[in-house]
Parts: sequence; C-alpha cells; structure tokens
Amino acid sequence: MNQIASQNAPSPKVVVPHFVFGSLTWLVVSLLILFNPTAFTQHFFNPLLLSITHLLALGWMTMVIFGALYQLIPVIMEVKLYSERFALFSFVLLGFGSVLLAYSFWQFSFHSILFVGATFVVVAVVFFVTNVLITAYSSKKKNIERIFIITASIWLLFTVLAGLTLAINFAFPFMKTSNLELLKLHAHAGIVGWFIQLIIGVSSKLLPMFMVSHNLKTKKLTYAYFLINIGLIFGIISLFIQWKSGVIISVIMVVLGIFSYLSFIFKAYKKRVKKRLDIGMKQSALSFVVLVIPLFLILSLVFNFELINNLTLPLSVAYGSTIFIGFISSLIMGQTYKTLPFIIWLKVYRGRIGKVKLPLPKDLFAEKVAVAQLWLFAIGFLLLLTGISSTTNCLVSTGGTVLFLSVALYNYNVLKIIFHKPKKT
Amino acid sequence: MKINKQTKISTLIKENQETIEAIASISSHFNKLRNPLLRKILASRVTIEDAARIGKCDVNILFKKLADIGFEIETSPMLKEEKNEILQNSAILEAINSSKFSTLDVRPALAKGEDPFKNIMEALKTLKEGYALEVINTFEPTPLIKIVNSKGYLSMVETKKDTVFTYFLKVAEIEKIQPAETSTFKISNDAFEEKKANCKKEIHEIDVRNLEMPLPMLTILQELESLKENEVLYVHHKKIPQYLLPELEERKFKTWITEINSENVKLLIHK
Repeated sequence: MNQIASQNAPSPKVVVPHFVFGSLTWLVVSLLILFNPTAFTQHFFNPLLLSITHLLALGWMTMVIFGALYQLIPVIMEVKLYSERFALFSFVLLGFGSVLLAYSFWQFSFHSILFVGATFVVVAVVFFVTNVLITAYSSKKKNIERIFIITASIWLLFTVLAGLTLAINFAFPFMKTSNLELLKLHAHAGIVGWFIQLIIGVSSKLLPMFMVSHNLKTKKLTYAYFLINIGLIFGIISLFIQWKSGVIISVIMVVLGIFSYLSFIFKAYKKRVKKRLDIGMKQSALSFVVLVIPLFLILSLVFNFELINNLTLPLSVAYGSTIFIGFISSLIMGQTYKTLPFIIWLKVYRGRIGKVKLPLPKDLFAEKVAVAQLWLFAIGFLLLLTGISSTTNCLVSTGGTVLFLSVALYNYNVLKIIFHKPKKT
Repeated sequence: MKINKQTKISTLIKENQETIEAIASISSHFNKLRNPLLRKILASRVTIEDAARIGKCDVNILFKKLADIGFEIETSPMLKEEKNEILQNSAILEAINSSKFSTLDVRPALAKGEDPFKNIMEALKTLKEGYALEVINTFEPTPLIKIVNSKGYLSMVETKKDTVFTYFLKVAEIEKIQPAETSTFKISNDAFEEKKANCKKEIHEIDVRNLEMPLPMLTILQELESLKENEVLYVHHKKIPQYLLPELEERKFKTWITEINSENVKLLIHK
C-alpha cells in the first residue's frame, strides 16, 4: 500500500505568465509580418526573418510550451514538478533572452547584446531541462510520452547551444562548414528534435484524452521515436560533413517517422467516442492537415527536382513558415482552448466543483470569437503561403494583416480566460 | 442532560456527582475514578466510548447505569472511524522485532497516585527515529494515545491479562512533512478486490471512461455530494485522476486506487 501525493499540479502563478507573454509576443510577430513582407520574399538568411523566427520560436512557441509542460508533466508522469522556482527563473530569462536576440538580429549586429541574449536563452533552457530531467527521474511512469518529452528537452538544449556556437562562428569564424549549412542544422534540431518531438509526446497523450479514444497501440509511436531520432542525428552529421545523400536518407527517415505518428493520431481520431470536435480541436485538426505540406516540400527540396529549381528559395521560406505558423502556432492556439480554461477553472472553482452549478471550462472563453479567429487564421495563413511561394509582397502583407486580426482575437480570448471571475452562486 | 458516546466523563461528573459511583460500581477498572487526582487527569480526556474500552465493558452497560441516574441517552448516528491499525502495527512490530525499543513501566507511579504523563512525554522526546517506546500500564491510556498520535507518533496497544502494553513509534521526518490529512492510497489489484469484497457499505458504481475532461471529475464530485453515509463510490476511470485527488482530500474522503492497466484504473471513494 502506497500513500500517494494528491497535489501534483503546479501553482497557476507559474503556468499562466507563460501564456500571457507567449500570446502577446505572437501578436507582435504578426505585426512584424504585416509591416515587413520583404522578410519573406528574399533569401531566408536575412536579418528580418532571423529576428521574426527567433521571436516566434522562443518568445511564443517555446514560451507557451514551457508553461503548458509544467502543467502537463505532473499529469503524464504522475509526480510533482521538481522546482517551481526553476520554472520562474527560466521564464524570466527566456523572456528577456528572446527579446534581446530578436533585437540584435533585427539590427544584424553580432555583438554583445546578441551574446547576452543568447546566454540568457541557454541558461533558461538549462533551468528547464534540469527541471524536466529531475522530475522525470522521480517518476515511476515509464511511458513513451515521457521518453519523447525527455529527448525533446535534450534536443532543445542542443539547439540553443548550436545556435550560440553559430553566432560565435559568425562573429569569429572558426569552423569550416558554411554558416548556411550550420543554420539548417540548428533549425532542424529545433524543429524536429524539439518542437515536433515534443508535440508528439504531449499530443499522443492529450489528443486521445480530448477525443476520448480507447485502447490505442503505442507501437507506431515507438517507430516514430526511433525513425525521428536516428534520422535527425544522421542528418545533423551529414549536414556537418556536407554529405548530400546522407541528408536525403535522414529526411526520408524523419518524414516516415512523422507519418507513423500521424497514423497514430488518425487512428485515435477514427476510434474517438466524442464525435463532435469543439473549436479547439478543429484548429488542432487544421494544423495536422497543414503539416502534410512541409513534409512534401522538404522531400521535393532535398531531391532538387529540375522543375522547382528557380523556386528553391521561396519554397524554403514557405517550408519554414508552414511549420512555424501553419503547424506549430496553429496547434498551440487550438490546444490553448483545451488547456488554459481548465487551469483557470480549477483555480477559480476548486472546492466547489460538483457542489453547485458552475460554468464549464469551455464557458470561460467566447466561442464565437474563437470561431472567427480560426477562420481568419486559415485565410491569413493561406494568403501568406501564396504570397511567399509567389514572392508577392502585397499578398504577404495582406496575409499578415488577416493573421494579425486572428491573433488579436486569440489574445482577447486568452485574457478573457485568465481574468475570469467566479459567477456568484 | 442528553449524552452520547462522545460525551466526556468530566462533563458527566460536572453535571452529576453520582456519576463517579455509578461508573465505578460497574467494574474494578473504574476504581481510578474514585481517586481525585487520577479523575482529574483522565475524566477530561476520556469519552464514554473510551471508558467502555478501558473498562473492557459494553458501552450499553455504561449507558444503562447513566440512564439510571437521570441522563438521557442519544443514539449517536456517527459511524466509527475506520482505523489504519494494520499499517501502523507493521512498522511498530518491525521495531519491536529488531529490539529497537525502550520500556517505561508507569504502574508504580499510578499506584502512588502520580500522573505519569510528564514522564512518558519526556521519554518520547528522547526517542530516536524508528525506535519505539513501550509503556506498561493497567489500562489502555486512550487520552495519552490521542495526544501522542497528534504529535506524529504511531501507536499500538497490546493487552496481556491485566497488563496493557502501549507502543509508540517515532516515524522518520519525511513522513511527518507529508500532510497528516493524506488519505489517498494506491494498492495492488488483489488488495483492492479484497477491500471491495469486504466493504460493509453499499457499493455505488459509476464508469467515467467515456467522458471528456473535466466531466469525469465533475461527475465523481457530483456523485459524492449525494453519496449516503452507508455507501461507497466505485469508479471505473481511465487514469489516476491527478486533479481530482486534491479535491477529494479537501472534502475528507478516503480514496483507494488500483491500476489494472494503463487505461483502466479503479477507485473506491468513501468518507
């Protein structure tokens, strides 16, 4: 007989600021897109796009993921988070770090501010990874989701360290490999190793839970795990030593791994008990459909087909934008409606649940606003993607405007949820 | 005056001095009540229910005597709290078996009419973690046990003829840090089945596996609101409900959990 700790959830004070900072950053990024369409219509190695990408990846996506993970890790691993203080240090450092980094890229100055910002981010990630590893170590749950989260965290650390090294190499060259190849290495460690892998770990637990799907076999996830990680390591080495066939093999492995995961999610969708998808799940479903685009783009890019030769550069930008905006941002927005209301609902109504009639978590945000947000997002993203692929500035700008409106509505709902006041009963 | 099992002996004496003789006449175990000093120590800490146990007599005999001298008996609806003695005993037995205990015989002090309370508390203070104190007495020292338990010691009582051995075990610091209220236990499948089979209460069964969060939590808490005293809620769940547990503890429910597999968890919840 074991007594088990009942209170594993972290304080909302730790989790909620991540969502606020993240969604405001996303709003700022959409403004930057709207006013700087040229960032998306030239070679991807340009100051504006570097700045926007880092603000998006760190200040919005990683930020919200950190916050959500502090809430989800105790659920997935059935233990208390090791340290809430570490989480707060990490929050502050990541916040300052991402802004400083974005600022220096914008100025294209590879000087002290960039290194201060990069160091902040690295230290923030060290705090995060330490927190995750110690927490995971204390957990008796040895499920596949836990392994994905641990591995993703380690890839995040690798990514930020590679980024710092890249910045040093740019200011004081010491490596033979071209910076462009190193940038691809850094970007893919982040995209595949951190974001996609983390999303697999968390979503393979959450999505079946939200759709109420039973008895799913996790074998496909195990395949995904090995294909993605072996493929990624292989790819990074190939990029470093500039071995083209190695890169192609690694891309195929990773893509197969992601398809294996997608087929798991599709199975969960097929077997779901809860037939009707709510607004948060609709946006999540959209992001999975969009994910298929970059998978085909990367295959065509590495095989370098004749007919897309002149299109390589715009398609590279399209590839990155589809992953960052069309897939990850969209999924985070959708899942916000599933997680954040619950966190606040529990905080506001704890002790009264079941005793009196209370609003449900989904009543904490305006559903009509969320529906409008989803439509604007879909249209905005489509315009942006068309603008990027056809290198048309005005289309990118229009897409940015519609996205800005969508993100503004998203922010409205996030703040509405966070400032929810209990109904008098 | 209306009285019940929980009424303190001192309250009875205050109300009616005849109580002393009435109770003392039941059995020689109650002779102590005639001693003014012992009466002062014990009467304020002992309820009628405790007294029955100390005097090894049925509580109804006490009630009958008390009714004779004019008290009105209230049949108490309160069910006896389930004690976790099995858990406590094993730790104490282990200490005794590895002879990690010291002895304090309080019979001479009691015979002299002294209160051994201070001596016992001092002996407990010097006790090392994992060590037990054996207190030898002529009756079960219920009030003492309550006080010592509240300070975080485990206890066990063993009666051999007229001698009562009470053991107190100092538990390690880690366990003390845990909230004293913790009442959620994870047990093996077999232990769970046994618990369910031996449950004297009526089993009220619900399945929340087909509900989307937070409906499982909401449903369980709603069911518990209308759960009767003699009922226990038996829940089929998909996972150990992390957010439900603190709510259950706050509402003073005891929860027994067993994990059949990664998608099948059973819970027994009761007051």
